[in-house]
Amino acid sequence: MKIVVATDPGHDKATKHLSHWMLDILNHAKSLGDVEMSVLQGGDATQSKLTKMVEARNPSLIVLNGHGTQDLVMGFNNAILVSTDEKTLKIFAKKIVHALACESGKQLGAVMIKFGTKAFVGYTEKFEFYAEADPFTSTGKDRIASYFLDPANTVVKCLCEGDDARTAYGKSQDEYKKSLVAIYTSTDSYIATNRQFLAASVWKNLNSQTLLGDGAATV
Amino acid sequence: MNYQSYKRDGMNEADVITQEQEVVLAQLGAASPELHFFVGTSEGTKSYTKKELIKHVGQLDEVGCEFIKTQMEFLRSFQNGEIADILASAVEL
Repeated sequence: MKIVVATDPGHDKATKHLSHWMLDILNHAKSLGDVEMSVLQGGDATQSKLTKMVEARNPSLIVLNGHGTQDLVMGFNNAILVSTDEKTLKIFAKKIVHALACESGKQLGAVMIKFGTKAFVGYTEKFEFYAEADPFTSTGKDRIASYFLDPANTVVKCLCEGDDARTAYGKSQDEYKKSLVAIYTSTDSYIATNRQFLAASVWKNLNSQTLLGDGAATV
Repeated sequence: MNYQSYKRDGMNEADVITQEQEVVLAQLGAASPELHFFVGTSEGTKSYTKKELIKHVGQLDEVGCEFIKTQMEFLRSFQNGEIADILASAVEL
């Protein structure tokens, strides 16, 4: 059984969008049959609860959704979940980490690898996206946000399917490229009017997504 | 100011920044009013409407500078053929 632990703070508009997509990942994990995914949602997305959960479940993949800077990723209400401080890094040793958080691939990812994380996929620049709907009121998938969040979450889905980190990263990069093509070939008037902006942010995320550590690592 | 423009021959940095700011403001003028842009700032990730983006780009503050940087890097990648290569290889994806 593949064990996955994820954080899903969902305390503001941006993280609520990530929560919407977390449901998609959860459904995918369930459909695979051999993945057990535990999600620390809302106020449970704290450093202490993550530590307890990781110690109890011993996951091979940890998914961090939240705000980030180059040396930390945050949880509920932007409290620090993990930083370059050695004390917070221990629970990530021998795990694969996916961080959907701004800039965490710049420094934090490398420090995690130094302290024993097998592989890290994250972003060296600020993660950007557009959305058409308010995540509080929207139902189903936001067609604009999907250009950004589907490619990002491909990493987690592929790792759950059994791909190694390098393959999962490569498939995610391909999904970003597909988003670019979809934006440029769409006849939808909203997308046509805003093509330049949507494509620029997809391009930025594609180029700042980084894989560190052992590309052959699997969940 | 935290915006680093790309140096160009015969132009000082302030002129380049002004020029790039004008390009992005012109692009934003044609955007949909219901545009919702999300990006991380020093105060966490926030969402911005078209009207708010125009204000931030006009002020060249943290959000405005990040937005200009994203747009200009994309335009440069378009110019040097990187985007065209991806669009041309769409059949293989």
